[in-house]
Amino acid sequence: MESRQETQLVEKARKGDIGAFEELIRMTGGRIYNLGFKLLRNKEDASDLMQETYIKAYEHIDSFRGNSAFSTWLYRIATNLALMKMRREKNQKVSTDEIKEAYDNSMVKEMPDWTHNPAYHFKNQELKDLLNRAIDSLPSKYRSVFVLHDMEGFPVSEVADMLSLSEPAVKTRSHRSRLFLRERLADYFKQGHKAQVGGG
Amino acid sequence: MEADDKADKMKCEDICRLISEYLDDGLDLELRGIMREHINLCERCSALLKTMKETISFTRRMSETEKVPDAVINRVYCEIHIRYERRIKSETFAPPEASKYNKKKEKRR
Repeated sequence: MESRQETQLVEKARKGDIGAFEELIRMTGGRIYNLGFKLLRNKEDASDLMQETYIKAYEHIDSFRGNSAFSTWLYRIATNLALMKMRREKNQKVSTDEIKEAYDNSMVKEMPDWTHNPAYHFKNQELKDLLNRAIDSLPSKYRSVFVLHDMEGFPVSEVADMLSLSEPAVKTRSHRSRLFLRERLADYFKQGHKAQVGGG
Repeated sequence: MEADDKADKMKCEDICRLISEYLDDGLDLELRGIMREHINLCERCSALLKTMKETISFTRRMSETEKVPDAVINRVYCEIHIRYERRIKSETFAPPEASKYNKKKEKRR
């Protein structure tokens, strides 16, 4: 829910108060930058995305109706800009088919419980790198859902709203992304910590 | 008894299909109960639940927040100021014809 302070600042910014808009940037900038970093996977692109998001928000603040929180509106702008960039670059390393394959594998393949493996701990940098590369390799339509739902913690309904998707579509993409990442982790433990991520 | 029957009928494939919704609390209590029963008895599904939970929790913990570099914030402020100045200029130096037209329009109202 939108805070009263945020509502007041949006009202002032709408009337042309640039100080109020700057305050909104100060309040929400960190979240938008981090969202960009998670979606685009590098700091330079995250900086550009943050800049483009606020320019767009500034130029279209009159169209903000207040049906959602201002920060949610910003998230929607940022996510859509990021998706456009990801689609343009098409830099994903795995195909949608591979994501579906992970889903099918989970139905038929038995995967051991690696949660008690001594190598499974948060300080294992190799594991973090592997997961980072796996997230990196998700096709944009899966990555956007995974980042918003699992990493940013938005409920399915809000993710659906932000990405103009149906709730079942969000649930399916989130589920398949999770199974894909879980499979990558399982491979890591199965292959003596030397799993490869990506299509090649 | 009825729940036991349903739990028996639930297959590992069903668990796999529904596990995300189970973790997101997106299922009704009855179905959750049936799944729980199956998971408690099935080693494979129990491993699925644990590993899915850990995958999500690990990625969530990995999403550490990066501090926005000051230079980036300043660049954003600067870009917004450029647009603000442009807006002010266009309002101040609007063509006189347009101003007259707008005044007439206002009078008519």
